[in-house]
Amino acid sequence: MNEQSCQKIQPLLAPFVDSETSPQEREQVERHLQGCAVCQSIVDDFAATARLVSTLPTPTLSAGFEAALARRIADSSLAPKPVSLWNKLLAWWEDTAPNGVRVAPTFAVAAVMLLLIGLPTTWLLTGRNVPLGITKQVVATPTTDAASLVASDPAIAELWDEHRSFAAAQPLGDPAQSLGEEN
Amino acid sequence: MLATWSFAVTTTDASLVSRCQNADLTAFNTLVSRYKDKIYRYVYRMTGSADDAEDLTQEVFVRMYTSINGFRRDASISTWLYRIAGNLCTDSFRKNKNARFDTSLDAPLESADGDNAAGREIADESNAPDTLFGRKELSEQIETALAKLPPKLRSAVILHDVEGLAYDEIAQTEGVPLGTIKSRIFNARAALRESLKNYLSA
Repeated sequence: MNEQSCQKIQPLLAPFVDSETSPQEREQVERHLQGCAVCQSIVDDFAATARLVSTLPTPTLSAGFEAALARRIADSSLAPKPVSLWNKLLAWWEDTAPNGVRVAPTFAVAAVMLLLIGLPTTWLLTGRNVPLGITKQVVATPTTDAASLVASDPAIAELWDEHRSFAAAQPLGDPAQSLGEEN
Repeated sequence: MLATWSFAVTTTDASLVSRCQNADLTAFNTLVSRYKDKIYRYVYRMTGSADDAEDLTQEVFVRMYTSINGFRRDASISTWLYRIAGNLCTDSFRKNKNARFDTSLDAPLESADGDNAAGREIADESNAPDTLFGRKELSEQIETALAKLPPKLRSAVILHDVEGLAYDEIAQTEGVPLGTIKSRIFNARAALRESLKNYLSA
């Protein structure tokens, strides 16, 4: 038997041993096993492990178990709790929701909550006349005009001129050399 | 005959549950005596400790009593009890990560050099029948192999092989799809096959 067909059949081997396959699957496995000693040995071993686990001795509870439990239950603080609203909602959801949706009631409730809380909040934050999700368009403007700032103070004007001068645009020379020249 | 009998048991369970919901202690005690051994056996095989298993089994029935109004009648009471028991075992493993088999009555006692002290003691007893020793050793090996499985795989294989639940009942107990149970049991059997390879041909 080739490895590929073994890989395909092996997930069915535990259900096969435990009689949990459909008739078609059973037939498929039986056909494979006729020509595959490897899978047949897995089936034999799986059946043997099931047999071994089922032969474990049955443990026995201590004689005082029921009396001790009855004492605990007799405590007046323990009484059947009423069903919570959440559990009632869950039960209702599982009874009425279609199969596909039933698996994730928590997610469904979370999604509804998000819509209930999220929509009005977005509406309030963005302004009532603006469609949802689009905020008002604001053009960014600088807070201070550069020219008026330079004009306001002679010292700033001097620095500004120096910054824009031809010398400021020249590459820096060797700092050691320029120091030497100064000295 | 069998169908009539199982139908009668089911209706009795349902009526016991109804009475339990009205804090009827007699009904509660009947349910306890009906299911205590099964739940104890499952919890014992999950934890490997007699003391822990007895405490947890008590807790299962206390939870059953206090939460009986939350019981959904689309599942059987035994499935629901196995579910509570499984959840309590998981909580206990989480709280007490390395405690499994610490106080086990059946686990082999290993000395510092790795020698199996319990096995040696029994082997030295000349009047102990070989078959008894063999069976005890085999049980210990099976328990150790089960202990090595991750709890989810262990639970699936115990519910099937020891408790006799069908795959769909296990899926309902564990709250997972049937395919998940198929793969858990496959993985559990593959791991047990490896751990118990010396005992499989016997």
